Amino acid sequence: MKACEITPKSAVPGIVWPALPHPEGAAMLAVQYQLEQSQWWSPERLQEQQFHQLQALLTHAVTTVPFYRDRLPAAGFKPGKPVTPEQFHHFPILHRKDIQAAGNRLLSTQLPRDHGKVYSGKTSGSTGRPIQYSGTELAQFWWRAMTLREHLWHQRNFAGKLAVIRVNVKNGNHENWGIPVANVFETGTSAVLDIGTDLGAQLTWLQEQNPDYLLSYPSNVLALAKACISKGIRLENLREIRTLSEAHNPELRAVCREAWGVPVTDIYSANEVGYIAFQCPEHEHFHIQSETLFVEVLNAQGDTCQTGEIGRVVITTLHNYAMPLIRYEIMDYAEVGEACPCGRGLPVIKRVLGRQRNLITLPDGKQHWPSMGYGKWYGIAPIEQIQLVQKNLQQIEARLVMPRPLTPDEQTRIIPILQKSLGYAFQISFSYHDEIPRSASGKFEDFISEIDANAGKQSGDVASNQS
Amino acid sequence: MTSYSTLIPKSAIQSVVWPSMPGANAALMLAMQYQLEKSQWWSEDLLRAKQMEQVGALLKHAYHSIGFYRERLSAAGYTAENPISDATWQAIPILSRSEIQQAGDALLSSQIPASHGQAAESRTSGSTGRPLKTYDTGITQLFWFTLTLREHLWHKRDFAAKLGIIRYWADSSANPPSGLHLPGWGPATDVAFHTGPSSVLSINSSITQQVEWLLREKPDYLLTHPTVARALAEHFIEHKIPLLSLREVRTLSESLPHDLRALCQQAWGVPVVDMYSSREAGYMALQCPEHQHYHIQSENLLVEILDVNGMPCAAGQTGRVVLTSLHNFAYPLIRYEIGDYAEVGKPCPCGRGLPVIKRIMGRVRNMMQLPGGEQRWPILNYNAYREIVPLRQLQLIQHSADNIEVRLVIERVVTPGEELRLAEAIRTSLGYPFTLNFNYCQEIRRSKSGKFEDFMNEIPDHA
Repeated sequence: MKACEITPKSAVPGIVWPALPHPEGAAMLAVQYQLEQSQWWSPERLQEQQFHQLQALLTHAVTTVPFYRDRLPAAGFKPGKPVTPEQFHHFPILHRKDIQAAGNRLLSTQLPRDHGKVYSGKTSGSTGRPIQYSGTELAQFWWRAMTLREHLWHQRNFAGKLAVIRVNVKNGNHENWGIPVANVFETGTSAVLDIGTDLGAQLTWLQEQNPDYLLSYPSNVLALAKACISKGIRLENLREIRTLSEAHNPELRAVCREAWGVPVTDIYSANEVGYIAFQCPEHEHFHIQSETLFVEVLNAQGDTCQTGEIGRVVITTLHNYAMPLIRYEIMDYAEVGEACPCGRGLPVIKRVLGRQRNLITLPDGKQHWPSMGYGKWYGIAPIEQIQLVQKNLQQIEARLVMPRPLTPDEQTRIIPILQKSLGYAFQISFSYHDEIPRSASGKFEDFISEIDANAGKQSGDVASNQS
Repeated sequence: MTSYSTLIPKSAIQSVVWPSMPGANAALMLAMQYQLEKSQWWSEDLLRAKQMEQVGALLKHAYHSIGFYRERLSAAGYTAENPISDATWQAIPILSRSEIQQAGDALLSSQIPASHGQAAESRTSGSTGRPLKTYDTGITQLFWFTLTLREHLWHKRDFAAKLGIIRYWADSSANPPSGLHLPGWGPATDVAFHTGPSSVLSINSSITQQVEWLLREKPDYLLTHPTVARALAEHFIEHKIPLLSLREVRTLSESLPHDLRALCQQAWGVPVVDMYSSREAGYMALQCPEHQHYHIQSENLLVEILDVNGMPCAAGQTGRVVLTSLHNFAYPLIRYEIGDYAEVGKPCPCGRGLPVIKRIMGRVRNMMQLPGGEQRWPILNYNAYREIVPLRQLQLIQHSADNIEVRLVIERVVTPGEELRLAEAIRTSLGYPFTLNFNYCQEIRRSKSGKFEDFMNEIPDHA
């Protein structure tokens, strides 16, 4: 049965359908009711509503958050007065270093009681600059509401089994899919495995679990899919792969189809801001979650990118009153997409290209996100994992995980393939590793540049050969 | 023009403007709307399957807590352990109004679940003579509100606008000339949305008072009985008075005359949106947002339209309306024949799977009988009658198979020639040469609940 045909849990004896949900379930459905409507609004109307909420948030920030007390009025904001998109566009960008420097000055001194308790966390620092963030129970409610929206968008069958392989989790089995769904609907069971688990053990676990849905990181899914293809393992119940946290390898979808005959649904999120964009239910691009965030994609000059342009992602959280993030540059790059034929007015991100540090810099100063399709070198050598590190404008280190070193012949065949996909005849050296660790957030980056992150910004010329 | 802000639900958290964070009651109401938004598009089969799940819970409760039903259900082959089959369902006898009247509190559950709220007595108007006493619960009230709100949302009403209501009002607060002024549209909408004001005028007011009230109050929407809307529309047309504020006429409580839509278009240039409800069962069918027929409210009740043999009518056939209220655990109505006739419609091109009623014909007592025994729904052609005499009110009472009393309220004396022509026009529209007795009245009164019926069959033993 599709998600739209499943009756919510009823809290009243005798009332089976339509359900009378308990208060938490009702609150969640009341929000879904609104989200069902707002997704079809025009971008203009969505923005109008966002700015109503922004006005409330900015007023709160100026009056209760020391960091913003002078910063926003200096940029022209008057508390309690409407703010226009043009004015907002001239508010200063909040960089990670600003957040680090501000410390507690970014915390509200007078959080409204009805926003609930405050929680804190720390980003992984995969960008080299970990930040402390705080949120509220209300912000968490929105996180959960959006989690449920994503499930509903993709019409998941809640009776199925969900398997999760990710970071910072305790291995085990659970009765349901977790609070966001289980507060509203009856669900099947879920099983969780730490991403640190050896790939072979992950495969055995997956075969035992035989899940309907698998949620993990793209790099891990890619490795699992490749292993399943080479060992001829099918996961009979599997219906869909869900990925999060990393920029997609362009071949991931094709490999998952080959391995298991299933589609991949990607999620773009970050701990400090929540869900940023979800894959469209009908297409492979993403819809910005405009009901909880105001997202800008800006070019090198700080202007709004047009359709087809790639720019920096800048985010304003609409409901986090404990630590408002106003025009926060999250250090991701994304390509602005054209309006979606599905009819949803939620703006489209065609691709999330990854972080600044995943950009390769060519000797002429041009930058792009390199694409390293595994299909190109797969079959030449038994490579299990690869990570390329740009040391300088001429040299790339290829870190490999494989049972034995490459033979000279294999090296000779692989080097031109890598050079071609990088877009320049770099000098390539090989190093061998037992494993290439993930970041604390579980992210795996298959390309890391060690060149000064700002070097490429000067050129203002960001392109991508990823397709 | 619908303004955006009125469609954003009320937020219980002041600092969160959008999307709204509704309070507990509002959240429940919106959670219901969320479900109804989905279920309206389900196939008839899926709707039926969900209904039967709920019917299963209802029958189990009725079987265990109401002796009347235990006997009745057992006799039909029902056992609480097994899912109910179509055959068992069909074997459950139809419950007539007189059986309910006779059974009285014997139909009241001895174990109403505490979470359903207190059972509250409810009496129908008794326009048929004897009032019907049933019981509601908090849950049935919630469903009533839920469907009230659905009806508004279906028809995309602007909640910021002003609602005018002319209907039966239990106390004197809505009496003419001033009527009653309320800050909102009522609990069903106000729980979740900000609404504009509403003004209420008791239906026990004269047409002159109603016209004055309308011109003074200038409502955007007018909710009233079809006969009131007709009288008002005729008045506005005749006196060429504009009522520019009006956007829509909403009707309830009486069957809709075939010419009312055209009259309201002519008088005010507005559409009519009709609904089919009853005191004892709530909303039964609401007008489709895109068409003039009705969608059965399958989430609230199971409606069967049965032919003389007790079999379901096919599209195009007219039959008796038999309903089962799905959520009344205080006073369950299981296969209750409400006394109305309706024509089954084809599936709606709007895509909603909620079954279609093409027309609600009215009560058995509104059916005309011909001397040969044939029964028909009478057609009255007010336009033709008005071309002959300045008619203010008309009511036909059938006393025997060939004799009909014509009650008339007319502003002046009618000449014998006019009466002859009127009689001929009435016979033509009824399609039979009845003997007509004219009876000139000062006023023809409505029933206590405000209903006005223009054809009453009072032949003794008329079913």
